[in-house]
Amino acid sequence: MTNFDDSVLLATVEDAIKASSKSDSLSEGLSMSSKLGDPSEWDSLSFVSVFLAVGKTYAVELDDDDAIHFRSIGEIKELLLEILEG
Amino acid sequence: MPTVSGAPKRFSFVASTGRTATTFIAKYLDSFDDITALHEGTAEAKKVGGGQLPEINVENRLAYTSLAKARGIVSEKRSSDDLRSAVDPSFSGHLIDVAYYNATIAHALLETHQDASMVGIIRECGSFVRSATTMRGEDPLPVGWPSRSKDLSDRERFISMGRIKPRRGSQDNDHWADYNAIRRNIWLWRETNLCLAEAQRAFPDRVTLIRFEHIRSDPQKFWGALGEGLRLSQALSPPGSAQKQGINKKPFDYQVPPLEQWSAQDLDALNEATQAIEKKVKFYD
Repeated sequence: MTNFDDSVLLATVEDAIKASSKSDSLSEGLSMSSKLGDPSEWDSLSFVSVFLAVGKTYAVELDDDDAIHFRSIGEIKELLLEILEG
Repeated sequence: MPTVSGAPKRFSFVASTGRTATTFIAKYLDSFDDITALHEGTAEAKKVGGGQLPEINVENRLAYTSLAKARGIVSEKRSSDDLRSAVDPSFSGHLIDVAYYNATIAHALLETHQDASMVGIIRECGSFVRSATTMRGEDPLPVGWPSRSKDLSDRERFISMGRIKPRRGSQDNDHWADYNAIRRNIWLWRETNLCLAEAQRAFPDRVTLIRFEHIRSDPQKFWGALGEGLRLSQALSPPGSAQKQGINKKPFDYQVPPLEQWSAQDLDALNEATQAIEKKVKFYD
C-alpha cells in the first residue's frame, strides 16, 4: 500500500497510550522502531487500548490472535498492510 | 552454559498450568543464596541487580501453535544472553524461572539450553478448573478462560490474548465458541499438561513431573522432587510456617461450582482429559 501514512499510525498509538496511562505526554517519543515497553507507558495495561484504537482508526476487524503483531510499531504496520492490501 | 563472569552456572525452569503455588515456589527458591528464582521472568528487586527476563505474554499463544514458533520465541526471549542479563553481574549460581508460559516453550528451552532441567507441576483437573477463573467481578489472578459472556477488564483481556486456545482446524476450535468456562479450562488443563508430557517424552532425563496435591498430602515428597528435578546443589526441605505467608489465595471463594453440579458433558470431558494425561505422563515416584 504505497500511501500508508506512518504518522497516522504513530498518532493513533500515542493517543491510545496517553489515554490509557492518563498522561499528557510520554516518557519518550514514539517512532517506527518503538516497541512494547519502549516508551515505558506502552505496557500490558495500554496494550489493549492500542489494539482497539488501531482497529477503530483503520476500520479493520481484529481478532485476539492478531495481538502477537502488536508488540512493535513495525509489526502493527506489517499486519495492517497485509489486511488492507489483502 | 558458558562460565563467563556474571553468567548463571545453571538454568532450570518450572512449568505448569498456573494455580500450582508457582508464586510461592519462586519466592521460596529465591530465598536461597545460590539461587535466583524468578516468577514469570521477574525477580524481587532486592536480590537481583535490576534484571529480568523479557516478558512473555502474547507470545505464549504463538508458541503453542508450533514447535517452530516456540523455538522462535526462545531464540528471541530466552537466549543465553537473556539469561545472563536476568541476574546480577556478580551472580554465578542457579537461575530458575517459575512460570506458566514455560509449558509452551518447554521443548524449545530444553533444546536450546542443553544443561537445563525442568519440573512440571500438574494439578488435578477438576480442582484446577474450579480455581482457574471467576465468573463475576475482575479476576485478580486470571489464569484460566473466563466465561464467554463476561466483560473483561483491559488487564484480563491482555492476559487472555496470550492464553492458549485451540489451533485452527482442530475439533476443539470448531466448538470453541460453544464451550463454557468449565470446558474451556478443561481444554486448557489438558493441552498445557500435554506440553509437559511432550517435553518429558523428548527429554526424559531432564524433566520431572510432580503432582501438585503432594504439596499438602506429602510435602517432603513434593519439595524433595522439586529440588531433585531442578538439580539443586542440596536437598530441598518443605518451607517453614513463617515462609508460607503470602500464598496467592483468591480473595473470594471459588465461583466455578463444585463437580457435583457440573453437567454430564463437562464431567465426561474432565474424565477424558484426566485419562489422557495420566496415560502420557510419568509422575515422580
